[in-house]
Amino acid sequence: MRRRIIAIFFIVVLCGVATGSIAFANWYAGYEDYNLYGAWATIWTPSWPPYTDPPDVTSGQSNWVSTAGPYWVQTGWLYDHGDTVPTRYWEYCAQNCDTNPAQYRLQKLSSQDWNTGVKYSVEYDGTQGPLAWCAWIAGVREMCKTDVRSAPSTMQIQTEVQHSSNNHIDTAFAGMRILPTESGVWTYPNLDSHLTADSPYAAVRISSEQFNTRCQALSGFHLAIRRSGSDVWLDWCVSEPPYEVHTNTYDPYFSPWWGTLISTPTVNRYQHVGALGDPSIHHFYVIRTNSTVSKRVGEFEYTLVPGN
Amino acid sequence: MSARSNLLMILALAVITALFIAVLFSRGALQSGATASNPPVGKLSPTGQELISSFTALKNLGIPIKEVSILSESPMEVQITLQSTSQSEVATVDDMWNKHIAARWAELAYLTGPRVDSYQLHLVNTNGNVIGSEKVFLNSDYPSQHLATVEAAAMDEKAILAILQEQLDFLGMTPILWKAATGGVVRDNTKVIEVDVSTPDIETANRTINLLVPDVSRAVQRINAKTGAQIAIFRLRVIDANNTALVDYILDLETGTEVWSVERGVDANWYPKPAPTRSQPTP
Repeated sequence: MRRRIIAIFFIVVLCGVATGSIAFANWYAGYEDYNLYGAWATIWTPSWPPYTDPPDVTSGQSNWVSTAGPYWVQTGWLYDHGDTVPTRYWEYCAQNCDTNPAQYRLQKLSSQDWNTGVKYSVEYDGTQGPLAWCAWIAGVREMCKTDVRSAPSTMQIQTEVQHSSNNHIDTAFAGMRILPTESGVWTYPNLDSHLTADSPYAAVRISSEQFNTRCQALSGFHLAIRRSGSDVWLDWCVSEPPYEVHTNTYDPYFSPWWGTLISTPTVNRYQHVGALGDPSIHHFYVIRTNSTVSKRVGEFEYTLVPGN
Repeated sequence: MSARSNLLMILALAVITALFIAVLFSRGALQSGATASNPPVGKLSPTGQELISSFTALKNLGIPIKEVSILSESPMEVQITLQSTSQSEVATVDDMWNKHIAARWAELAYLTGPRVDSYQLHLVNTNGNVIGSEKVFLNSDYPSQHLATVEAAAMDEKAILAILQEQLDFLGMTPILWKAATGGVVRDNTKVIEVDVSTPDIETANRTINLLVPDVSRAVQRINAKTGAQIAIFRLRVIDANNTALVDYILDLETGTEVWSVERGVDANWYPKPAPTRSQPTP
């Protein structure tokens, strides 16, 4: 009988489960200011789908402009594990939010492609009523909830990560403006003192009207590995280019040096072409930045010889 | 009678007539709640009258519509007032369902009649006080504005329930009610599915609720797309031992809307929400 030889591919995470991953928790990164009548930002999607920790659909992220709770109106884009593209949405909790039962509405709208920016805004509108706040998307008013709260309000422009702190984020909040008075002038936010982030995430000021949310360059930062055909893809989300991709074919705990360096990408991903297919050669990977190194991941294959 | 007296009488009659007409006009305008662009109620176009009539049909289906008025016909702006059974400022869980059905009725009006460009939804308590209101502008990015007509479903309610019973995983909670209905508050040939699951208490529910809702939601959408079940609305309620709905979740697969209520103490965390404030507290 002819024997079939099957190459089995495994991906291994050598550092085990990342610390800080707590089921059902949330992490936030971004801007918060108080006594505002409105805020807007052009919120960009990443160039490619960000890594989300499997296996369930609660894992994901949303990027939004919002009044602070307990009564709130929010608009932005969201992306959950398993989605192909982000979805624009508006949402509110405006009734019984601090009593019970609290009632919510989330309205999904059209999608937002990767690497695109859309302007999202939440604004107080006294002409609609003394407690009215409206959500705008791309300059178009989508909804006004007229029983939210009085103005001014604390407002937030943030990334929210759901379920796992291994999830990668890479969002630019550009063209930001805030409205400090009801009928006043939209002004630049103070990004020097109003950015906050839950570890392991970071909110980084880019200019007077833009910040980006990414992952902190902590020692052992998360490195995602996946296969595509005979290639290995590596993704990470710290923002500290240039990056060094190091690999070793036999030692999982190798020390990165110039002999193990295979690429210096300026973006946060690397495609190791043709890394798979030879059960006699394994690959272990680590990413090195100027200040730190990632966790270690690897792939190995071995041959199965089925019995008769 | 002198010519002068006649002239005075004619002038007086003209003034009285003008005042009478003005009063009539103002009464009509008040009844329509209108601006200059709005005709009085009695002068609604056939299109406007058709829209008002369609909401009468919804009222006959049990949705407590107190009043529907056309605020403008171009663009078409409708105001829907719903009657709550609440005596306080707090809406009931039934109100959430009624509001959603009324909202989708306005959003889908174009499929059988005139298109609504925006709608205002008011909820009033038994004292007549408005206890909830919102205004939605039905722009082209709303999924509800791009629906096609639906033919009869490939499977009946019993078959759909059988598939759902086989494939939905309630993560240890026990289904205690399965219900399916076709038409009615949703379009002909589309369905409303309602499922109640039981849990002993909030603590038990909190162990799985954040997985349960999105998992079931995603599974229903997948089954709907795969089987052509034509589910328009899926409603999931998590009921505790005291028969309290800890979570009442409504997924509208046609409009892209999710509405839900959560009892105090339930650790609901599956949806986007603001961060806890870090700077000066909101007054």
